[in-house]
Amino acid sequence: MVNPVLLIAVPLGSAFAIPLFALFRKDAVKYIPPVALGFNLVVALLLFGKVLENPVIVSIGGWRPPFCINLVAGPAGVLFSAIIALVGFLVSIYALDYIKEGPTEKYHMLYLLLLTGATGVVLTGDIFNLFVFFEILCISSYALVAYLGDKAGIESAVKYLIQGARFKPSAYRDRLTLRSIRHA
Amino acid sequence: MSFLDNYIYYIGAFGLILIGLYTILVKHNLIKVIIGLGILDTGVNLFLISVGYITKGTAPIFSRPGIDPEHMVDPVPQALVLTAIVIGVAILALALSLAIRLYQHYGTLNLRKIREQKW
Repeated sequence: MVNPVLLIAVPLGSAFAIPLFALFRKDAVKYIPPVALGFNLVVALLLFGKVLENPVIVSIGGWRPPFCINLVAGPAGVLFSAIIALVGFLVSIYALDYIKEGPTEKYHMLYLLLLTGATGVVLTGDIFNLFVFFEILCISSYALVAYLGDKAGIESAVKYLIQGARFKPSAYRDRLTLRSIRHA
Repeated sequence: MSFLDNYIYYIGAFGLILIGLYTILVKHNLIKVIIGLGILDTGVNLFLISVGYITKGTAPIFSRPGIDPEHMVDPVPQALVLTAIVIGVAILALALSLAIRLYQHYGTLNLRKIREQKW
């Protein structure tokens, strides 16, 4: 009884739980990302055997697909989310010892948000949610570039943000084209 | 006249997008570049809304009986744009906070004077 929603809900929920948890135990916060991403890896591997037969389509809220938030967990999407969870899990284990400077609990929060966005991009079933998850991915990566707040980091983050936002119109146009193809 | 009637929103949207792109590419002040980013965002939002618009259409809400769905505008671009406005505000706030930190480090917002920011 595994649901693809868990792949997005667990990292997102634990990302927002991290600042609360940091109020009590600031030193133990760094163990949350490996736990959440290990859970994601297990769920993705369990799902993978199931979706090879037929894809799991989840419509949240009980609406019909053009109007609801729907997730399509096909073989490719679940494979990609398993790869994201595996790489994220290994990187978060490395980050246990590596991240010592700066506001570390914010690093772990942004890191989990980044992986939530990436997982959402590969699992989403419509353009609307592709846009939303892509923006989650983008904003947390802008913030992660500027994480230490030093001269080079801030300067690169400004550059990355402007370059990223400048190509927005073409990205929107592509999404719109995809949408009109789907409706045709 | 009918040309303007049909395409006025598209003309406005692409005008806003071009003004925003011009501001981003040409201006040297980082605050002006961020303003250009905002204008670009508004243009894209207007474009998306005008794609889903029907002439003399009503809001897609069943407020009173007797309204038929044929005369309603497409609700999906409107929901998308509502989300896009919120995300645009988030990106604007992030860009302005980065501009504050950049000013603290370099003492200037002129992109010509910051060596790594030249383009």
